[in-house]
Amino acid sequence: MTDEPILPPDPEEDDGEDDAPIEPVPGDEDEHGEGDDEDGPKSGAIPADAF
Amino acid sequence: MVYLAPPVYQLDGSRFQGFNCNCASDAMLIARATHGAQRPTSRRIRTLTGDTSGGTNLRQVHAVNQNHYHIGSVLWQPIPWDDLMDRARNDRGFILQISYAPLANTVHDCFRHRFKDNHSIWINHMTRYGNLRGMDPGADGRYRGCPKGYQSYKPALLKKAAGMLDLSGLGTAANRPLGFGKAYALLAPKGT
Repeated sequence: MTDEPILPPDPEEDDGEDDAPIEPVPGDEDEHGEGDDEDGPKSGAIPADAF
Repeated sequence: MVYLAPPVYQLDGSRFQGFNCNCASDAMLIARATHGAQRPTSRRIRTLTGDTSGGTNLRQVHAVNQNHYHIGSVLWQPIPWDDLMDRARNDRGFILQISYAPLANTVHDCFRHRFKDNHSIWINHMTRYGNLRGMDPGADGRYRGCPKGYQSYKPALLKKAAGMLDLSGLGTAANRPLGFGKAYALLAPKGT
């Protein structure tokens, strides 16, 4: 037995926030794109009478 | 402050002028990414693709950016429309591939109401009012009623046009639309 009082945990020492998942910021992730190895559709031809 | 890429027009008298919407749009992406240090012409981009027939696609101009200008553009085929708008709100510029059908017969029409196939436009940024500030490579003011330079587009209109992009690329009855809520886009690098 000791005479030291039992103290509640320091809220700044471990409030659990460090374990919370970090929400990604939209558009801020490391961006690699998708389907960049595929040929997409080609642009159409503007008809001469639309010039 | 967002750098506004100077307009590049596709109808410049060059051999492939009627097909060069991607090339003109990419010339604006390069200007934006380099803040004007590089300002290629539509014709120059076309030459660098090595393609000597018909239209081009985003992958071709993406390769030009990487191989000839060392610009890390990001190609999405596809990207959810809402994700693209998140990027626009963060001042990302991008080339948007669309079907022109929803724009024909509107104030945005640059082709005498005679064109409704696949097209590409450069979107420089989103305005404070939530519209998309874009440059149609056909917007050269060459006839009465033809827009000239940048225009403000309602996102809902371009969302519809993006979803109607014809993946068949044929412009025929075999039309195969991408689907509402998705887009094919080539983004300028982050922070440019």
